[in-house]
Amino acid sequence: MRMPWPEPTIERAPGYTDFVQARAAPLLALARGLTRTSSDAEDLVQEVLAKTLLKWDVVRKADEPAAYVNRMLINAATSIWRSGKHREVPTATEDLPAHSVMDGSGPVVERDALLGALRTLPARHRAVLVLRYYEGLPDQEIAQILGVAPATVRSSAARGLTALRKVGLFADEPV
Amino acid sequence: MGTDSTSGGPFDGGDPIDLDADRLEFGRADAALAARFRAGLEPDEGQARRVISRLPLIQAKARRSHRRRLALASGVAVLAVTAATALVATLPMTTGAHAVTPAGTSSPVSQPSPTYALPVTVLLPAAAITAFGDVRLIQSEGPDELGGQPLVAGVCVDAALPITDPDHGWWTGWRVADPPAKATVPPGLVEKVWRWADSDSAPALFKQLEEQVAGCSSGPGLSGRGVTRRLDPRWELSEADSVLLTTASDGQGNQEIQMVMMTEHVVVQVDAVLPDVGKNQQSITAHAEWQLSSTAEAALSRALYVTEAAAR
Repeated sequence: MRMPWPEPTIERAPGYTDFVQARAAPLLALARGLTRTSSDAEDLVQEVLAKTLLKWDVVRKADEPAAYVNRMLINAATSIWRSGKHREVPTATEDLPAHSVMDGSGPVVERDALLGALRTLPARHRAVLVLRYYEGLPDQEIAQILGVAPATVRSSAARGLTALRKVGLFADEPV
Repeated sequence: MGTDSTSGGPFDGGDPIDLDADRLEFGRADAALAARFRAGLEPDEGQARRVISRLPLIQAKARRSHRRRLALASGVAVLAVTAATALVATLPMTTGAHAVTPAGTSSPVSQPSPTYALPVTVLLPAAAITAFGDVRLIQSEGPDELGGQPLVAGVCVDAALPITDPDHGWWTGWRVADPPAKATVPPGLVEKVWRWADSDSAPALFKQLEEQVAGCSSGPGLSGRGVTRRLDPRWELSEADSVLLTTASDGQGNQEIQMVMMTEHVVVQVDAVLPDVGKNQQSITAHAEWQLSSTAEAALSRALYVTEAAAR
């Protein structure tokens, strides 16, 4: 029988605190795109950082620790909605703020507008857009992560973008 | 699941959709969209600081997961070994098709007294020994009370489920007292039991777990976990109406096996880890399945006995 694993502590994980300080914001950004609320995003990041601490020896020896943990977060987020346990009800578009989402009021408004608009999308459409445009993953890889066909990724992206444009986002972007 | 945002558009059965429209000018358009997404998803500094300030909580969460894994995989940290060795099988065993009599005893030697005001975990033995053939199991963790609490369960991912809080329930860890050399016997098991007075909740939970398995069967799970595979049980089970048997690589060279049993009012989940069985293991040994299902049946019997005692 294998020997017991040592208790995971931050003291026994050299570099872990630095990693968290450097990666908390990017992980939160990714989580904000994949979940429906800020508190869900924070919970998800904390859950993944706990798993990261558990397997810190593996993570820190990975070629790209940041990418490794990003993938852990993506898997954690998508596993939940893919399993069908956490059924989401997208926000209705009429519940979005009345002001134009792209009225030039500054970065905070733009940020809120994107998050609000993403929440009107079904979870898979949202995940596809975030993985494609925030994480920069190719469609083939997104398909593998989400357990769907590449064609489904493309259709989800197209539908998601169209829905976002309908609420005023990206209307000025070249297509 | 649709949204109002697509109603009236090309996605409601109207105009055909050009699925590649957004890829034709990949360079410029995608770069611009990527920039907008990066700006739009960026958290405020306060949110990032809040996460960093919760490092102690994150560590505590990691420790809890670690202890659960230990209970599953290595059977260490037994707090009551001395007491455990003094007690012998205090609860009735199942009379199922493959159930066995606990080694060293042919019948329960003591039974907890029903105490109405106490949670069911008090009615469980503080430490007990049970056995399946040549494998003795010692209760090594818990029991922790699950009754009256929001239901958190899962086969692939634990999550809060929209099901009525169970009336009774517990979480208990078992470890093998004398681990055999062969890796085909799980060195430890964890049982979870939920019981409701109504007859809707147990089937609802079982259905949700089945649906989750269907989702986890289509691709790898989180944190390196492999694809979850559903297997056909080898034996006909006497007590349970439905059985779910699954296996998956845990991403660390071990094989996790789980069994969920359901009756009208009770759901039992037992899971175990077989260490170092290799990455491509897709089936479980008869011995491991037998140990798993025997534990689940015994847990089912305890659930019926203990919760009925609590209700008297």
